[in-house]
Amino acid sequence: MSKYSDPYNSGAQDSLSAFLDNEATPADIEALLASDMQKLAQKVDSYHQIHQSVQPDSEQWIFDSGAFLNGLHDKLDAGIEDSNVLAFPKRNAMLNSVSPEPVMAEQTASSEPQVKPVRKHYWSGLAVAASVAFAVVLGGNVLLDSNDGVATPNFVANSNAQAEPLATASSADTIRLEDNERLQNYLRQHAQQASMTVGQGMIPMAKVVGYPQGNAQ
Amino acid sequence: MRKVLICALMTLLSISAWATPSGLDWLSRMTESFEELSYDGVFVHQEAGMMNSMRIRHGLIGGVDYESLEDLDGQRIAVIRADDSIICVFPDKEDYANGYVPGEPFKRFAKLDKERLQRAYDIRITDHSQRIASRQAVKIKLVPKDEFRHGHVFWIDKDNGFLLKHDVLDHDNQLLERIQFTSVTFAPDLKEDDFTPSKEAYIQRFVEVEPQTVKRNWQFDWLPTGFDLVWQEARQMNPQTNMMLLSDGMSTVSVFVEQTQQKRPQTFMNMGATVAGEQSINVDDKTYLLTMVGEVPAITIQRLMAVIMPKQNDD
Repeated sequence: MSKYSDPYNSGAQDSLSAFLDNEATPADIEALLASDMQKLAQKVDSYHQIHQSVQPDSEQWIFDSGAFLNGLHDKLDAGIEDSNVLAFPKRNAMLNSVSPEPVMAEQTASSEPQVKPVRKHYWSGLAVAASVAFAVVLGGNVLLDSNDGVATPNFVANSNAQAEPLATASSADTIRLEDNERLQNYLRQHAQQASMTVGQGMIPMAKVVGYPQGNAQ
Repeated sequence: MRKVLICALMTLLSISAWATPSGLDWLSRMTESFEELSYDGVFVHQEAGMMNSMRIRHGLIGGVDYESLEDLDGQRIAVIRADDSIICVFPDKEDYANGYVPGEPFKRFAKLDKERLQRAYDIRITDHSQRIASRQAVKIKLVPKDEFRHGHVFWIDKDNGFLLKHDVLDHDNQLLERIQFTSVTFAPDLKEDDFTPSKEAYIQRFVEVEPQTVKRNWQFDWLPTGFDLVWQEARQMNPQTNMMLLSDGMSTVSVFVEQTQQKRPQTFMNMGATVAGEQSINVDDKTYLLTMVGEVPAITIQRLMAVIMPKQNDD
């Protein structure tokens, strides 16, 4: 059973120990990425206390979630060519949330493509240190044919435009890194406009200012 | 005598109704508070397994409207606004790569569109006695009326209407995104120095450039209830790319259309509450790349991608 199914269990403790000892495997990294940072911080503290009791003169540690995440991403990127590293596994659950209703999801389940484990992709361009980690959630237009009663006029029939063939899961899995800058720019533009539309001051900008910088270029 | 009593009762009821703000009234007050109040607060932003603390400040100093958002955890990047000027502060030049260029300042916040919100959400006050960041808060729930938008929960300061906490929830009430103040002070003693970057920092200054409005060449054959175009025309981001904006008063979807040479399959990405989709389409002998970004479920982006089309001449 994957550690993802319970990211806050003791398995995360083992992964954290492995990471702090520089012995983390890709599976450890993925477990940590799926964990709660606050709980990890507590675990780092307890780990440090144990370390201090054994070696009182050891260096003081301060948990910095940003730096910690950067470290995780570095290791993830280092291993991404060698293994099918998973990241943000909860995004696999996206299939459920994109289904209009649970009932409909069951009805259309047989026609939906299998969703491959998602691989982390950065929206880099790193303008504001904001290499926002997006995950490709699914490839393919799995819902357009779902019969949920909402009128969705046929695009091709109503215009002289024609959509590209639908992506397969594998093609979605290989989003090109050179597109990241464009996507990041779009995300910034979107956040700015949202900040003027939803009446929450600059808070919508938090997502493009605050995330740790990724390394994918 | 009975008439007098009835009149008195009616008067009391009307006063009571006036004195008890609705959920919409609280949301409206929240929107106004971001512009009207001076504040200095720290909040945590949590999304997709990541968490970041940020400081936000706002104040009117010497007739100039200042606002700043500062990253406290990562690379100490800040965005500072002084009226129509934007300053982006980076710890050093190494952290500045392709340039963060805000298109517009943040001061022109739209007023709450109550009618549109009511079409899209059931708005309820669910608790009057919550406590967030040592402040008394009212809890307001926005329950979506369909599957094309996320749910929202707001905790709003009872004294001044300030937003103290905001959760975005998916269709199964799972948390997608959260912002929560851990501390906030109102009417802080802010000075110009508080919005002045240090000498060591690398600074990029930007002055507002009026966005170029261009003819909108695309239309949607269907929109989720409550959603509408924010601008009737499109905004030109660069000679190749135009932007449109859709909103239901709470959620927004940005639509980017650019001419391209490359064909792309439909692809979706997400992080927390934000979903992005892209796909190329052919119109006559030209290929366009559609990119949509919004805090909506993936199905909404998917539907919108299916119904966008070149604008007809008779529109």
